[in-house]
Amino acid sequence: MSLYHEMPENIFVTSVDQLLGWSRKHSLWWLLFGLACCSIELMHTGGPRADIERFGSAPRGTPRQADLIIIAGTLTYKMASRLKLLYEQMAEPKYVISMGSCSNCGGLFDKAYSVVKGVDQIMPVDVYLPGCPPRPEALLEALVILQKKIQKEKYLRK
Amino acid sequence: MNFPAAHLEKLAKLVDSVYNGAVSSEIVQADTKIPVLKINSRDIRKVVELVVHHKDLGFTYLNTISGTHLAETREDESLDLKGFEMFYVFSNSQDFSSLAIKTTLPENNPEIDTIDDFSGSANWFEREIFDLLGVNFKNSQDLRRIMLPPDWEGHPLRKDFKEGSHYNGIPTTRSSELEAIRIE
Ligand code: SF4
Repeated sequence: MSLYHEMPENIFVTSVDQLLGWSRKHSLWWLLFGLACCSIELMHTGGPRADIERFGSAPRGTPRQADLIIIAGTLTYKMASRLKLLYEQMAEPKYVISMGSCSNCGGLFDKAYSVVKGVDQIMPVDVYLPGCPPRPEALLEALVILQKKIQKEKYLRK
Repeated sequence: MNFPAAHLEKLAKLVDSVYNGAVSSEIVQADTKIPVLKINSRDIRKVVELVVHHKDLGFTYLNTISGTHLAETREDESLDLKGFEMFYVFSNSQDFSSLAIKTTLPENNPEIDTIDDFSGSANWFEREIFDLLGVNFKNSQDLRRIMLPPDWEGHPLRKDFKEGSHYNGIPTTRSSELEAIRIE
């Protein structure tokens, strides 16, 4: 008879890493921030059909409370410095989803004089999400991929 | 609604008579929905004052000011090819007719008098044209860049605009392919 069978039913055993990963990945609060047409899909993802909050991912109005920033749309050079400031205001650990072709690589504004050719030129990106725009389901998939990444992190052992 | 034909015929003559021949103008494209009055750029303030304030005209609403840089050769050689082409589109709020005033500016050092004291909205149009094309509006109340950042160099809608390799430390071209990430 192991210890496991002697415990009452409302107690379970896990590793600290796993418990931390589990709780962190289900409380990924994201910064309410959109740039261009992709942010319309971002709003849909928060709506009742896709409902990103069922993954524990709630929108936040300030970078200080956010763990995740979703770069939804076309990033211009003029906006780049402001976006960088927002990113730097977020508390560690922080994650970035690059949503849509524009923020991945400039997209259809590849030849434009005013558009940054990919948000990874100014900040690290965790998940690149292709599409113009990606559907809300795709954004949820990106979130799930990010959650898998967070679950595998050994947060306390850095 | 179309511009009343009777007005149209009189317009060029009217400009001529009010300024005793000192201001030259001609109606080009009289058959289009918005007739175009072509003038010399130094007369812009006189003509705008006329079309805005004259009792028979009364084009008090400024729709837009647009500018184009013409640097490519066109097939029709009668066109004035080099330089900047400016359109000022006015509307009449009584009969909803419109009128465009067209003028051209030289390729080197383009400048024209501001009209921002005739219509408040002119200032933003002029700032946009200054920002993107580098046309200098003389005596403007406030001529700053309106869309691009203040430290931007050059005027990107000019045909000879060359993009630098970096802007504020951000590369303006992309070399590497996206690295695929894989999570098992
Ligand atoms: S990727 Fe497409 S939909 Fe998204 S911001 Fe760019 S142009 Fe708009």
